[in-house]
Amino acid sequence: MGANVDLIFKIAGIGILVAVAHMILKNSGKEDYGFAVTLTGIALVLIMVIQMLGTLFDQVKSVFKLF
Amino acid sequence: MLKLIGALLIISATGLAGWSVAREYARRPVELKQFITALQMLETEIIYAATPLPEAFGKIAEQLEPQAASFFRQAAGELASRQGCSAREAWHRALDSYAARSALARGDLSILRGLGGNIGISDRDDQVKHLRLAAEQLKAACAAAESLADKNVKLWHYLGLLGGLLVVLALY
Repeated sequence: MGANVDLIFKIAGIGILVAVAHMILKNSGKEDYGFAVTLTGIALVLIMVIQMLGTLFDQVKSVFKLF
Repeated sequence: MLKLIGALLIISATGLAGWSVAREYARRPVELKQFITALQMLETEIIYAATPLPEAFGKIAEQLEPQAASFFRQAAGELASRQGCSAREAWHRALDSYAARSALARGDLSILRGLGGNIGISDRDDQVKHLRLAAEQLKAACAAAESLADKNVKLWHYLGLLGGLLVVLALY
């Protein structure tokens, strides 16, 4: 349980930082860089989440004996 | 503990990188203003005092802030030491070594380079025209540099720190 809560906080932190970076870039007229930063943030979070999703699917498979 | 030290190192490294980029942006208008002042002083030296160029460069170097002063000091030195070196050669040589350590953009340097081609080769009235033209061009460049600095200095300060925080959070 502890590891998962850590992951959630980590993702929340990344989200806040990416939002602030996007805002700063947008205010100084660099919208395209802002979107690049947002996209990188999404990719980063997806990579983290996908590992957890993989373990979830493995558990589902083992519970229903779908090997 | 080790993780915390690493995190601090990463944040300070990216923060410093952002800070140094921001400083480049902030330095350019300052240097341009120094050169505009220098050209006005040179105009005065030429038209009212009729000072020879090596002495005029030396006098200007004494009154300016250190960055632009180093340029004029070197130009004065080139003119004083090398026998038969024209004002144009001295100016260009000083400009080449100054360009390596300055924050000026290529356009600013080419304005100064163009002025160097005309300095010390005609009478006083013509010299004043060239100096005024270069000063006007530098003023326009300075206004552009200031608006660029306004936009980018804060941006790079924040972006450096934010990037560091992001990396730390992703790796922690």
